[in-house]
Amino acid sequence: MKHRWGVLYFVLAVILLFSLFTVPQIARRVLDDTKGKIVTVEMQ
Amino acid sequence: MKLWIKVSLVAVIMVAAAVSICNLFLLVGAGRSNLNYAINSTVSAQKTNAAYWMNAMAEEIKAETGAATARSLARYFVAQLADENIVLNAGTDSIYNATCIEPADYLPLAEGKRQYIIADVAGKSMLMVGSQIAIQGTIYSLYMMQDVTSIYADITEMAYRFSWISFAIMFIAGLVELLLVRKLLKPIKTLKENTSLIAAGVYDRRIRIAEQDEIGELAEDFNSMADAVERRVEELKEEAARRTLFMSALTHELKTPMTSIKGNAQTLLVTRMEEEEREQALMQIDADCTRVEKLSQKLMHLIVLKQSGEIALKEQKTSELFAMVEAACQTQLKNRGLSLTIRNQMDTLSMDLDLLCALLLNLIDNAGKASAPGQTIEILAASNVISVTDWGGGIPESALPQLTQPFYRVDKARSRKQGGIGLGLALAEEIARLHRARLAFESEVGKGTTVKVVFENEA
Repeated sequence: MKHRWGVLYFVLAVILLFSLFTVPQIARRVLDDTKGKIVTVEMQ
Repeated sequence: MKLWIKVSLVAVIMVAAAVSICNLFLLVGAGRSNLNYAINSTVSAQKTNAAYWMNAMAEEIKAETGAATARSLARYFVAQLADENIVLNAGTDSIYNATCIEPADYLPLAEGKRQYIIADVAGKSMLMVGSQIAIQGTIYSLYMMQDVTSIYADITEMAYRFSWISFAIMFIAGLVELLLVRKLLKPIKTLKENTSLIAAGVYDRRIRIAEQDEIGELAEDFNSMADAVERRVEELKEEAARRTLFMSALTHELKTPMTSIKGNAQTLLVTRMEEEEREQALMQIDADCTRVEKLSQKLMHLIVLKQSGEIALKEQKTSELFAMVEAACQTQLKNRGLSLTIRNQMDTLSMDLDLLCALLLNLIDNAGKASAPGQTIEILAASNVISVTDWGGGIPESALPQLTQPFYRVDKARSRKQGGIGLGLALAEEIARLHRARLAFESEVGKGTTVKVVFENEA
């Protein structure tokens, strides 16, 4: 039981690290996906 | 782990997760929005420039215009646009290009379409928009370019800035939640402390919680429970004290006749006595044995009554009861020189005839012992009360609460002399309880006593 609630600290640490380092990388990668694609727009 | 830590941790985790997800959507949304703005403005500029250039060329270029003239005019009109981000190609030949980038390498245009691409060129992110224009058999490609490196750089910078702001928000939110949860759960800590105290035997502790929420209700329930426990403990203490008193009184009641019996028996064994003295000693032994027998019978009766949870009561005429009572005590009262008056204004009563008769006989016996020869004992039955009144010596007020305790006697010497063993009123109280009734005593020293049997369920 003691260990089960101790997992909360681990979860909090993971979320903080995710927020600090992973979120910027995901945002950058999503934007980078727009590069290199030829997009056609209407002529008018 | 303490409850307040668990609650705080879960709350902080929820906030952190929510802030992280919001951050992600916010950053992606902002980046896309900035890119779309740049794309739309560049596409719009390319449209405007292409229309201007095409109109100018259409006016000047005729069928007979030579290729070299057409290229010069094409370059001239592009230069007129005064935009260094424009690139003009005729087929695969570059006519005008102020940049060092060849957009055709990245964006091979399809006929009749306006297209764009974002490409990394020489460490920069370049947006290229282009369309093909056919004039007098020559296919021209007009490109416009915009450096969008700053948009990507800004988003990256914004992402890291957001992350640190989120971290600060989570930290502050965590602290606030921690303090709030601790404050909210403080009453539970008080409850725990008080529970421990009650477990340790301190029953008079109560909790004061002003909140009207679930914890407030819990505190109220706790206080009710503590009241009940304290009451029960007091009852048990009183019961234990009563039992101790009962046992010591019983021991004393047994010891007195046993001492007398032993003394008389030893005297008979070791002493030469006259016939008259022997007879007197034997009579004393007989009297003491009778007393012990009577004591054991009454005790048995009392124990049986105490163990009876409920008895079957029958609706019966009170006239039968009083006739039975009168017949049973007539001789005894006559021997004492007393008379009995019965005023019955009751019709019927739910009762066990024999037990209620025994109760009244006990009360009449006590009244008889208190009365002087020539006096009257009165029984009055009215409404839901049957009362037995005597005009004897009366009972001191301080003795009234103890009258129903086993072996309690107001005047021990006189009672014993009259054959009383101190169990009559204890028995009467038990019988009254089985009839859902209670005994009430009214007495004044020198004037007399009234004992009332008050029936709760009778009209």
